Amino acid sequence: MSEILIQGRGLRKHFTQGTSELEILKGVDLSVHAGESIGIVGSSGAGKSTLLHILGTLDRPNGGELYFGGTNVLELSDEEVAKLRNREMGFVFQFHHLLAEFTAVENVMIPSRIAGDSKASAKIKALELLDMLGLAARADHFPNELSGGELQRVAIARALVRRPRILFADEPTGNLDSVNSQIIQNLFFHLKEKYGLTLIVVTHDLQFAQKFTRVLRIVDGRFIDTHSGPAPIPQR
Amino acid sequence: MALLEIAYRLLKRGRGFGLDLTGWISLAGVVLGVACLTVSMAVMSGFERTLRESLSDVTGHVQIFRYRIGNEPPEKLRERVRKIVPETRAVTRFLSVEGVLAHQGRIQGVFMQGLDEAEAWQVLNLEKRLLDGELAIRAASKESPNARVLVGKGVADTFGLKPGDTFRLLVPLPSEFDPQEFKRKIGVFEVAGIVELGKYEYDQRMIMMPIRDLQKLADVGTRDSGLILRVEDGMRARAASFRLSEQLGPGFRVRDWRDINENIFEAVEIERLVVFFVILVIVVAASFNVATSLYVNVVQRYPEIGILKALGVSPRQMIGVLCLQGIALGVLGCSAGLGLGVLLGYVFEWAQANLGLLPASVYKISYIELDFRPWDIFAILVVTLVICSLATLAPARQGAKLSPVEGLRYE
Repeated sequence: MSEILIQGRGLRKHFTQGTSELEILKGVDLSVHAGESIGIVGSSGAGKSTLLHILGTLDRPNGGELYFGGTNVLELSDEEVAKLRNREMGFVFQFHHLLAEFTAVENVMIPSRIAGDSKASAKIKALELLDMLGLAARADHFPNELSGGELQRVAIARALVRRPRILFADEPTGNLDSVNSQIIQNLFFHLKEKYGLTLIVVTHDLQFAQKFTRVLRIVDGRFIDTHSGPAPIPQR
Repeated sequence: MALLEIAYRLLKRGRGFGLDLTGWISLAGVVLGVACLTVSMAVMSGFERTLRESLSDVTGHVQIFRYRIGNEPPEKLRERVRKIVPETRAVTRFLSVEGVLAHQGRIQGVFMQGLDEAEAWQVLNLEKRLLDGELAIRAASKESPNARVLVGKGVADTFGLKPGDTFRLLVPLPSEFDPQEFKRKIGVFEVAGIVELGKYEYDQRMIMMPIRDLQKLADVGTRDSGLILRVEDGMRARAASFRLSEQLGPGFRVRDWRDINENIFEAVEIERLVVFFVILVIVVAASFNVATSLYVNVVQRYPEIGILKALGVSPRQMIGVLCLQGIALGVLGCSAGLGLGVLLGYVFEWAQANLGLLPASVYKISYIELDFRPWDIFAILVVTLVICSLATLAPARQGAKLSPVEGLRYE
């Protein structure tokens, strides 16, 4: 068995709305091994995205423990967490979240530039990735000049430019047509193999979920069952 | 550096430097504040300079008093002074004596200043201050037995003196045998002109006359009280005064124009400071408005902030990115304000020249040449930039505190 990359123990998260408290995660335990691909499924509002955000250090849990490579992430300062995120994690969201003021290549360069890479070196890395994703010709285009599938591929390139150990994706195909959705799905598994990535993907698409080595179903703030291997498609 | 570039790009392609209409109006407030500060400081500095020149016309730039009258021959002293202060433009000796003016049954203590009529006007300049008569003071001679003198406006008013009138001056002299006893020496003088000297005590007490006549009246032979200097640059008179104090040795007291008119210049300095802080309130108020606009801008930019934070921008780096926006606005406000201030300054100068803004009869100063001092401008720019940066800090901290998820939710 490979090393445990992420370990969550008793992760809890609630949101306060007025006087009422909405408990989203009710004590989630989870171990993610390096090189695994995990699909998180569940109904809307079940807490899939919340869990992904917590695992990706984009949000903090209200309770529990979270370790990344043996380090207790919740004990790190905001500055240290930001560095960890930049160095080790990549994110792809349902909406591309590219900065409209920057071209495709500039968007891909941002994580490297934040890390302090020179402009030239950041550009070389970004162009390499865009080329690999078939976007070399679109490198100097602004987001409003790209199609949905292209935007998502640029977002994937941006997530991978720092060669992270883990890639988090939140409904990455949720906004795409079936053709583009298929392209992106294949791309994920291709990149996982190529770079030895650990993959955690939240999705509603159960066919997509089938392709992961492990599927976690979240219901009412808890995992109710876990499967290794292709997930069964529930009967409607 | 990379972050600066990211911030710059976000600003450049953002909506109007991240400001909406109210933001621009707030920025206009900063511009006006800086413009007001610039022009008012220039007017105050110009006023101080004009006042300095005006007062040094009466007192000279540096006055050297002997503690004991005539302890060193005037020529020798003059030579030493020129060596110590090579930038001396002109020098004249003077004699100060206190006495009593008696006219038509009234008496008043007066302050008599004896001047060398041949060289005094190279050091002093009373042309603009002559109210009546002429400036030519003249020693008594066979043709005209009474010396012609200048009297202060207050003295002339008190005694109803006009040019051509004569009056008596009385100097009490201690007896050589008994210091308790005084003998009096009286002289008759003719009013040559009436001058307004710009200081109440001068106007009320000053009488200027040829030095020889005063020496005779005070019975001091050829001795004098000291020298009055005009130097090349009045602003450096204090340095010259320090050198003289150090090098002339004991027995002399040296004062520059600032010491002589200490009260006036202290008042002007305090006034400058008060004006600076009062007008600074405009900048502070405007900066608060800018801060409000930046708050709105930070909220509008939540998605971008969220993305950048998700990509690994730390809170501290985020503050830097957002503060840069405030600093850019501060720089913009400062530059535009400075430009507008200088422009307003020229308009003010034009208005003085063409519309007679300052009635000379009231202020004795008919024209203030604006003085944009580098130090004033530096202070205005630094203070404004600091205020704008501080105003940005609160919205920037708000942005930095934002969790990435919260930001992304706004997309």
